[in-house]
Amino acid sequence: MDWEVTVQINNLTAGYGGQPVLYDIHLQVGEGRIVGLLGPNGSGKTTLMRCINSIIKPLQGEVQVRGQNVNKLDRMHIARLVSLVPQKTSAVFSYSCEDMIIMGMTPRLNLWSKPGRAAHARARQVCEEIGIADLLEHSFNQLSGGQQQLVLLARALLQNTPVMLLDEPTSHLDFSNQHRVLGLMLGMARSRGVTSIITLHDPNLALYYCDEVVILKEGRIIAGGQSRQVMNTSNLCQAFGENIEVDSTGKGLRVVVPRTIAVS
Amino acid sequence: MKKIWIALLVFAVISVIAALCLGRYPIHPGEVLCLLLAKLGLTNWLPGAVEEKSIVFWNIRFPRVILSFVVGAGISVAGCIFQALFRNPLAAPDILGVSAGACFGAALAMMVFPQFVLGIHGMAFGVGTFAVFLAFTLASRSPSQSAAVLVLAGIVVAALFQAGLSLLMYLANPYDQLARIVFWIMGSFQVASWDKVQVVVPVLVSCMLLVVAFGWRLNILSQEDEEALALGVDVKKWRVFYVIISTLLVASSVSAVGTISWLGLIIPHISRFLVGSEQRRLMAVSAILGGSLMLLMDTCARSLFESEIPISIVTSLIGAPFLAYLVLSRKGGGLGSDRPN
Amino acid sequence: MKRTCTTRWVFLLVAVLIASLILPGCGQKSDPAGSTTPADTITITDQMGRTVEVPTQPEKISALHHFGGKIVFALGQQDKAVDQVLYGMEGEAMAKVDPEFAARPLFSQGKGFNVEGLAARKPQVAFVYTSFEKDQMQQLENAGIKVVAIQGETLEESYEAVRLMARVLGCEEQGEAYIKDCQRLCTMVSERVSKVPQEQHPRVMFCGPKDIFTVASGEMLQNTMIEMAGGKNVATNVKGFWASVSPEQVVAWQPDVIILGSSLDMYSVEDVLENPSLKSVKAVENQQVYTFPSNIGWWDYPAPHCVLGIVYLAKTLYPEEFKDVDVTAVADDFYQKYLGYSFTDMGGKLPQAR
Repeated sequence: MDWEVTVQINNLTAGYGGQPVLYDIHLQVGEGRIVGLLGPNGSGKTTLMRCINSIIKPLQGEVQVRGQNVNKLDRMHIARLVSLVPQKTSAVFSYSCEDMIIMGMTPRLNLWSKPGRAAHARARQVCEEIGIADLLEHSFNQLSGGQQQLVLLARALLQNTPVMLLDEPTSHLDFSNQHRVLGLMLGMARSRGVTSIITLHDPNLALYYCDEVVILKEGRIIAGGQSRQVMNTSNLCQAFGENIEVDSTGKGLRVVVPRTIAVS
Repeated sequence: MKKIWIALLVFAVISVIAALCLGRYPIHPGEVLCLLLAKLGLTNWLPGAVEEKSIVFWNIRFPRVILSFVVGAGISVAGCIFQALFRNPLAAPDILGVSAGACFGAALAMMVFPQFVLGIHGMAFGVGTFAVFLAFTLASRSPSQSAAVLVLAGIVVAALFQAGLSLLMYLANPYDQLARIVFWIMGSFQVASWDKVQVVVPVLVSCMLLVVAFGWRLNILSQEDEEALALGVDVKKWRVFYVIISTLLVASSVSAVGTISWLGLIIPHISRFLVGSEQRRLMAVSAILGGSLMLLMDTCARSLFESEIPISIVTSLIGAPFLAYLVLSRKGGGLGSDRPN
Repeated sequence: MKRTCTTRWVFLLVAVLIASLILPGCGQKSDPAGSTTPADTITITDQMGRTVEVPTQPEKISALHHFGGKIVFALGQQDKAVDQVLYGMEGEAMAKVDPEFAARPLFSQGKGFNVEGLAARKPQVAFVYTSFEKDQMQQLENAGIKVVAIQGETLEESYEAVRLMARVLGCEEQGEAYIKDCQRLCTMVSERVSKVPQEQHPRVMFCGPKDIFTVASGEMLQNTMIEMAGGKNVATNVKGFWASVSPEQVVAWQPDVIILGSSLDMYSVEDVLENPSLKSVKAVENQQVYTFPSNIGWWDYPAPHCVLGIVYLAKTLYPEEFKDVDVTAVADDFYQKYLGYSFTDMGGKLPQAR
């Protein structure tokens, strides 16, 4: 069945311990789109993400993924609809990359089964697509930050879900790695037609990699739509409260810079 | 990987053979073989001297060998579970207070109704499991549902029962009850008999099989809560399941033979060093390794000197230096991440 | 793939459960049929009420508690013991004077004992105290050793124990002789003490193992000993075992004499005399603080060796009435008869020259 709207959020108010952090959120995400959630710290980006895979139950409103209310589903079913690439994981015990990636098979396993040969083959295939096949035998803890993020991506892709959430996956990486990894992640998502929702705090990354952008401030959406249209000076100033400008480089590329630098 | 498995199985077999042949009651390995074959019905030939040894062999030594192997395996598996559940390489099986509770229960039984043998073991098991239940209830009242809260609750409960135990020890008659309590706390396989084996072994083995069968989920639980949930594992429910199983493992062991310290902490580390962190493999290896080492240590405890050494002394003398070695060398198996955070 | 996984586990589980039910059948009955005839055994009831069938005239025995051990010696049966049956200070003292004793193994250290080691020596009967771990009693029986439980919390009980053991060991005459000797000493004491009117009986506080403020209660053997020796236990109304009391209570009691017994070498007479919280106690003021004997075995442990303790107490409380009684000589004689070596030879020394 072809879905037009994969994620539908209506009237969502949600927060922690009874205190709302998000107010009256309406959101629609189309199939296969890459949507960036942008906003300053404390604007509710991560909370919104946690509502989508039902880690936080809403105080009001509902979240639907492919027409199903996620809060009424059990964990296993949610995990077959929505996967997560976390920011970074602190693995206390050292797993091999292959073992880490194969965890993505969990939602499709029986209680007493463990992933079989077919699953391992699929994992290998995904790794080859991403380009990390040579890391399979390595210990996860010994990889660089960027490599670890790619392993986590492979795990999420193995889950084979229609929706993938990425929680600031590259914030802790250096400049070139940020772009390389993010490009790879979202490229993979696009080629598989996975609807991706990614939280970012760098407006430039949102501008380059996302089809659509939703800007949050203090728990409310102040703008949402095609990234080209939404990422303008007034919206960004309103969100970040800084003097920000969206400028063009000589080659016609748009960049987001603080006004103080833009002016000089 | 295959080589490690073979080496382990060989080690286990050697431990069993050594345990059956060594002891203060002199039985020659050849005689052991005769006894085993005779029991299996393969031979009727038993030299005269061997006949009288069969009583001690079958009633004293054999059940002890079985019990120490299975208890060693059970405690090691419980150690794996707790380290995974609490994402803490220093988690030991008594982290939720089951040992403290069991000791308290046993001491209470020894002082209040010493006539009933079943009373001591039953009370130890009952109070031990109750302690974990108490820790769980306490943790569930906290707004935070993380594993760390459970550990804190366990510390509180353990402290409570430890205080109760100290009180009982203070009130106890020093010549009799106190010595008994202290000896029980230090743990010993001395009273291994077929009765004990019949009660304890099925429980331990069933729990171990169950947990290895569902072992894959434990890998997921050892990730961060949010990731585990995202991978489709209901963290809360599965945590309860694993805590129940490991509590059964530890409570059964402690109620039968007293506290055995250190084993549940170090065996998972050795196993992790050998086969990595994948839980199913880890638990299976820990069971075999833990059983064999427990067997060897118990054989030392009962054979080295004329009188018995309480088993916890042997495990502590070996366990503590080993842990020091792990900390100092920071070798494999992850005593903390290798990446600077 | 999934089905075979489940079936494999179920099969394994069932196999294990079945095995664990069958295994106990491996246990051997300790008396293979036909090896003993009725004439070879006698049936006795021990002091726990257990009925035990013991071989007549056992050649090899063991005692896993010093109470039984001392009686073994008193009955002259120490040669039949397969291990050292004396423990603690007594065992050490005996080991020093008797090389054959020293050569025997010691299987019991604290509460633990090595079943296999003991079984290797093939004792036929083992005497244990009634407070012995039931599990361990079962272990001994599993190893084919008959277990007889005895106790001696009062003098009468201990005489019963002596008679029981004498019956098992087939030396009833020695048993009676021993009991008579103990009773003779008790009578000697009570005759002299009865001459002193009740009101003049000194008040005695008998201190115990943990510290100066642990006292022997009215329910303990020491209470009987004090009364037989012509004293009055200040703590006679206290219940329980080795009760802990406050310093104020001690002062309120105002004992005339303080006896330091079973102190486990925790504190000495000097400690008591110098203790500031006891300054106003009569016994301390008059320096009537005495250590209870002895350095080679406490004389207030379960009877009947405690009759020596009674003699000592009596002499301490009534030095005049017992002027002619030399406790060391009495002890020498008693030890010689019932342990094989005199008290002095074994290194025994009374705390104060009496």
